[in-house]
Amino acid sequence: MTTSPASTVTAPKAGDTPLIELLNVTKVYTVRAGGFRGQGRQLRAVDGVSLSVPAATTLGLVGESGCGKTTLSRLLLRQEPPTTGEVRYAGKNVWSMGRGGQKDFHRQVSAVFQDPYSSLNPRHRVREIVTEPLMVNSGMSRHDREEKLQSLLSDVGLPPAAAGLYPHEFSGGQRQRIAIARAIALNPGLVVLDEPVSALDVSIRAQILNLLKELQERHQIAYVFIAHDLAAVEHMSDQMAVMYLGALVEYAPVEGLYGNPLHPYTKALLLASQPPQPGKMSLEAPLSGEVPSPLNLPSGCRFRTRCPIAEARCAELSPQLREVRPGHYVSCHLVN
Amino acid sequence: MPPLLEVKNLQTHFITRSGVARAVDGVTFSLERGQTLGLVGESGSGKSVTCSSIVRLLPKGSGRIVGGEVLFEGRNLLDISENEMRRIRGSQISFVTQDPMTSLNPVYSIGNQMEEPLRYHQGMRNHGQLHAKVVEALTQVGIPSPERRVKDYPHQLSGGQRQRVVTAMAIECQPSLLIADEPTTALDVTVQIQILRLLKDVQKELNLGMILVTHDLSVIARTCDKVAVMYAGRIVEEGPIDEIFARPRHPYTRSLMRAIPQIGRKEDRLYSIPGQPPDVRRLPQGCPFAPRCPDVIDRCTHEAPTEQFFGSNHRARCLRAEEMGAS
Amino acid sequence: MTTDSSSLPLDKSVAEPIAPKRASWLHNLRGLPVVPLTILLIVIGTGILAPIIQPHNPNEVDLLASLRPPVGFDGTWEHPLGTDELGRDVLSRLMDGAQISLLVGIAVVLGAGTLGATLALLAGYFRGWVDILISRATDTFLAVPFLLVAISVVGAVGASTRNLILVLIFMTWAGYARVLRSEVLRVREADFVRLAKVAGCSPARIIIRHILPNIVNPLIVLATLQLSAVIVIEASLSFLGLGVPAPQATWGGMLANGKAYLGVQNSLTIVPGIAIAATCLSINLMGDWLRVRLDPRFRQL
Repeated sequence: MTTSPASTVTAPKAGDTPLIELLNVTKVYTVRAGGFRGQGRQLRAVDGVSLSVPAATTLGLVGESGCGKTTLSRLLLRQEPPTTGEVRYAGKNVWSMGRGGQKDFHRQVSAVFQDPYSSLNPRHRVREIVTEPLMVNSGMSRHDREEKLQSLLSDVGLPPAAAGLYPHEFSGGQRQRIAIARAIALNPGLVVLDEPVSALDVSIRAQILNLLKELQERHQIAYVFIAHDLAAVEHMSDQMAVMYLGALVEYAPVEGLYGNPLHPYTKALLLASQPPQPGKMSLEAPLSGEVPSPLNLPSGCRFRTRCPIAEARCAELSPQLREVRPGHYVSCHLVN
Repeated sequence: MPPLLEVKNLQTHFITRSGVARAVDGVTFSLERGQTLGLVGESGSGKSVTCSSIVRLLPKGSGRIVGGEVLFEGRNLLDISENEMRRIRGSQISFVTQDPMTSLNPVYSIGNQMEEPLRYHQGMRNHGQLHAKVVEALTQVGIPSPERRVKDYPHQLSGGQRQRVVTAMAIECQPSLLIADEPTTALDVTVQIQILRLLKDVQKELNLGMILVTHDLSVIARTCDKVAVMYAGRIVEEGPIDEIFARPRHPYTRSLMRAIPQIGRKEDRLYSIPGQPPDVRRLPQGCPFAPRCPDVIDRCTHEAPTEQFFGSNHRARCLRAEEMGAS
Repeated sequence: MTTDSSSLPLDKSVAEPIAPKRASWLHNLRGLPVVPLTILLIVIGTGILAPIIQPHNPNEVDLLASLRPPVGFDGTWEHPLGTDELGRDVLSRLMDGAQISLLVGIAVVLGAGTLGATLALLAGYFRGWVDILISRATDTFLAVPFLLVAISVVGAVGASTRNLILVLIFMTWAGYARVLRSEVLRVREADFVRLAKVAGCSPARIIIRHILPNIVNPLIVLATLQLSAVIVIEASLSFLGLGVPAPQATWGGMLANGKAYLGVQNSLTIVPGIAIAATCLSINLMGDWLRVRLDPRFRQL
């Protein structure tokens, strides 16, 4: 792993050399209004985001619909180029790598998605699903692949006989185990976990979260854990980023963020995710209204339309992400 | 006076190629006006099928109600004709479903769809009257500038607003029972509470009985008076909400509560329930939760537990329910 | 989020390792529809063996024996299915025609299906200008009046079995392309396709290994429907003299020919009509079976 070259952007850093970094990344989509007179409108799905994930750590990413989580995962997985800014893996810009570098990237980065039904090709057996990355990216012999398959299945807690079965023969939680086995097949450095447990039954979620943590410890994998369940994110993560309408509003080590949340949006999210306690939970919504359309961003601070403490200056000036305590970044005029 | 809704030993089976699935297997509960019953359970536990059975909306062909009674205001809904049932559905019993995008028809305007139940159930024909009624219902659910909204189409509204429209539609014929099936699951966390608040508000206003189906215990804790926990087609525990949260008697309820990650409870590994949700086509002998139960004893694997009562309204279907309350 | 009943977990099958599969290749033939298969085998068999087993030369004219009825309708065993207006033996012509009809039908469906599916996969996967080009071509072909083009093309190059097949492929591929393209668009959005890209699979691998197997269902449904349609279209073209040149017997040609004698000798239309209907029905039932067999979700039942 090489050190990232010095950059003009102040990317928040924690720990050692980052494995993957976003440097001031913006992704703009042009949306046709419909019809032929299509003056496209600009949708800023991700707006000036800088993040870094050190090896073998977890970055938790939370936010509501339209906050840019999905676009961010596409950027991290090199499925789309950023409009401006850079995505770097092990210090190298992932969009200026040669063929060899790209192949290496595919070996190093994989993903687990939310829907365990849509994630597995219904026409393939588990054997093929799990070993496909090996087949495509490594010169492994059939015999070696079979051996690796068996060790992967036992890693994720599936019986050897699972190899010959089709996805529809498994329950949701078991399918997610298959998806995880595939994701770790090439011993990746980074796995992007995009809502990996939110489609699963409550009684199964803890199993999968424990499995993911265990695999991280055993194989030293870094995770980007995207979720809307703040409790699960707290459990899984070292660093945590809160996004709202495409921008980071707070970025901090987990203890700092949960122990002392600074941004009003983070506070509201935490209020909405109290543990269940009958009689003690209010039905007063911590925030009024809903997320505005990303096609029509509010002026100034993008959160001000729902912010309980907004002032006049919030409508004029867009706040910058700044470090208010060591490692704790927040984007709000009213936080000192 | 009979309770608003009384379900007695309801049994619904699905005939599949690989056997009979006892999706609902002897469910009993009752509900008064003004009361909220939370129905929790995982996929396949039968919570949604129970609700569909109450209003006889099972998938044609495979699903069949094979036993029990559904007494709505004293009248068995399983005995009446399909025509009568249709008049009750949407007027006296109405629904809010999980996905507001599919419960609204994308090709009709909001106003147009909302007039439909009024025309059908109340025979209202006058245009001005219909319009006024729709605007009134939209105001009631907190839609801003309802006069303009009636001309909008579903895709022009946000998720939370769509769920408000669905709620307005559900209450415009003055129902006495509202069935809400995962009403907030598809929404953002901060919007979820707004919708729960709305449901509680309309409930109070109309003195509705409400069944709230969810897998989220915090939704239950926020809104319900009593809760029924379902597992493998049966209610394994039922009781007042404070009782259930403070002294859960069934190991499944207890495990479920422990398995939810909670903020601030730093633990290295989460408590997890082993195994997979059961296949209701092949239930084991004895207690269906036995293979996953942390408190299993030998008896559980061959003896089906019967219901045990604790006080007048707390019951649990577990052989060890007595000791469980003590610990 | 969690949906009840849609998929009941089959964890049993995993907990207890299931019996080894592929016990024998016969295992794969379970549920095979026997009657349709028999009909198809007879049609194919007689088609191939026609020159040996047919009782008469199918093109032998015997005006003295014209318009004879079939056996059971005052006919004789000399001509079991009767004779046509020129005294040709209907049974022999039917056998002869089986060969041509099936050859044309299968060749056209294979050709048009392959062409249409390939274009649909390219258009749906790559989108952009590839899609625009292919979709516009598809629209154009669907809009062109079919008979007009068939008449001019065959008029220009001359009527023959090969030209008939080429014209029919040319005219029917667009239907496959249109329907399958929308299927491809649906499948390419599935997460497993995104994950295949994440794993570094090449476009060729994604198209062939991931997307194609998942559009096989509509492809088979379309192909079996088309096969029946092609046999009928061949009849109308033969009727216009643009199909297989006379005196070669084809089922469509016989049907068209018999039309003139409706009321005089109904068996001339009924016999090829039954042959076409039975074959098409059998093909559809076989297609259904194949579709279910190829789908892993049904295979283990």
